[in-house]
Amino acid sequence: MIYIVCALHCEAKPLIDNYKLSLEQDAVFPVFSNEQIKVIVAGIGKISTAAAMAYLYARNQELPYCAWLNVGIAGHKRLPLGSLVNVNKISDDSMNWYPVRQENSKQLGVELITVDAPVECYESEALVDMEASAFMATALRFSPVELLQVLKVISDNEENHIDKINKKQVQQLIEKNLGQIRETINWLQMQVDLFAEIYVDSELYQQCVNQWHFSHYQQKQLKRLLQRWQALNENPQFFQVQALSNAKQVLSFVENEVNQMPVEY
Amino acid sequence: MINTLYIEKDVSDHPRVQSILKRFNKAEVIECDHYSELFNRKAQNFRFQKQNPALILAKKHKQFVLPAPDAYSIGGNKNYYFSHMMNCIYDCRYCFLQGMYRSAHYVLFVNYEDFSDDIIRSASESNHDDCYYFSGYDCDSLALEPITGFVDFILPIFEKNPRLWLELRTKSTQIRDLLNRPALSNCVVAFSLSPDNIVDALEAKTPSLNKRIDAIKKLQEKGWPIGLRFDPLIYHDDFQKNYAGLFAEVFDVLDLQQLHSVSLGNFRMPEKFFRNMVKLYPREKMFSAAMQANDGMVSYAEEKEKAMLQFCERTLLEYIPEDKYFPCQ
Repeated sequence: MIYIVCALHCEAKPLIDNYKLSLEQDAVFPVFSNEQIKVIVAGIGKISTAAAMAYLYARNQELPYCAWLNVGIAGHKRLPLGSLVNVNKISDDSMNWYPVRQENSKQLGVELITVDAPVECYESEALVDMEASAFMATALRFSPVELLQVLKVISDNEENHIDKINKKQVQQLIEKNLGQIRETINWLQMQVDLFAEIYVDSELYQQCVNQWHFSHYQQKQLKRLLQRWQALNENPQFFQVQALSNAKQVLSFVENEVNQMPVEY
Repeated sequence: MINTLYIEKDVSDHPRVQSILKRFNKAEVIECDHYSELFNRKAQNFRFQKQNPALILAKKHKQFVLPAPDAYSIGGNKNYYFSHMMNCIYDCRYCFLQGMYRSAHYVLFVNYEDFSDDIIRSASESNHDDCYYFSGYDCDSLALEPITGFVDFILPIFEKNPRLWLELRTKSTQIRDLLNRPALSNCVVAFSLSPDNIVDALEAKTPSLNKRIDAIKKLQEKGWPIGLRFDPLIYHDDFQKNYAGLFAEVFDVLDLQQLHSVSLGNFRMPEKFFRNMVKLYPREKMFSAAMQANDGMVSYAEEKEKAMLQFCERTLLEYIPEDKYFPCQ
């Protein structure tokens, strides 16, 4: 699952339309989803962002390995309006975060500073927004940094002040960059799939815990024994344990099997 | 190879940083306050990072040279190690670095002078005993030499101080700079070797056994003392055939006279590191063999460990005199 966090509905709208997302009922924040993506409209600022992300995570916490993407607008001293950048460093006060760079990405990497209120002047070469630091700090509680990305579209610069932009224009700026945003979503999906392939419990584990009662400690034992069994014997099957009567017998059987398996390279 | 460079603010003007920047002129450069912001952060996955590691250029502030663990000895009583780099370009599945570090990024400390000063300082405290310095504890000593130039920088210290010994521990074939300079009798180039099947299965991105043997031959021809490190021994059903074959292949072509030392060591890992490694690679065959934990260290089950060590030791001593053999404990 990919969670996309936008501050404004006009930032989210192009994604909602493009991915044909439906509004989830009974949600405290507006959440739009399909089977692959959930977009949450968090509101402006760090507190809203953190609250919305925590809400989204708690609402779906049974889903393993979720990626997080922050899509929104930001200001920059010189970069042209409408250009999309991939944020490579986020600073807020004395804290820094470093989203992972996608291998072979052609997206421009730029540093970003998160501020508490809109800025009147653009002093540094960094982007300025009001959410990204909260996005990173919160997302890292739920997912590894390899599953996080921050994309910003330039909405204002020294020559085009933020006051001049309206919701329709924000929507158009995001729309114009949908191709690149989709690329990042696809990349995140690949990362999520890889994580799941490596770390999600095997079907055999699920079959075992459905069939017999394992204590919490026994579940951990079973998980590790099955991982070892699978590493040494590519395809152990449920029928090999199906006739056993209880969790203890299963653990004992698998341990015995594992310890007798040849180790060959 | 390296697409992203993180540079600590304090070293951004350092000449070595500037020179590395020229070499990676297409890499994205990102400034950081301190390497630990990236390297020590939680919520990162070493296995995923290993696919595309960044290079972090940083300054080390203390603990340049440290006393080596007791098991580290190739004949001396005063043993030290130092790490100008953290992490390695290779991806050996048994490597402790993946269990010890949270990040797979390479960290290069560019203040080499502080390392050489500390080598000289530690040697001056040793009452004229020979001192042994091990490089390649937290990285491969030679693999990134074309970028770092660290060995080129540090060798003159040892050239001027014959009672100081240096071990360069490597699997690399980056030996051109060594071949282009006079050999030092107090610098041991120590190659880690494993049978072909283990190299293929567990030593990703490393040069093949043949290439390493070829590099050893060339260094021997130039007069460099050579160390051979069969460490860790990896248990598998055909270990006798494969390790006997490895020893035969190696000693068939090497000059025993120029062999400085040979060591053998079983796989052993602090429990905490091993747990981290299993978390990263839950379905790794090597971690699925029967292991035991004793006094905080994980190793193969006792009877397997004993059988393997005894066999390898016996076979090895058919080729080399005992005074060149240093078992790792």
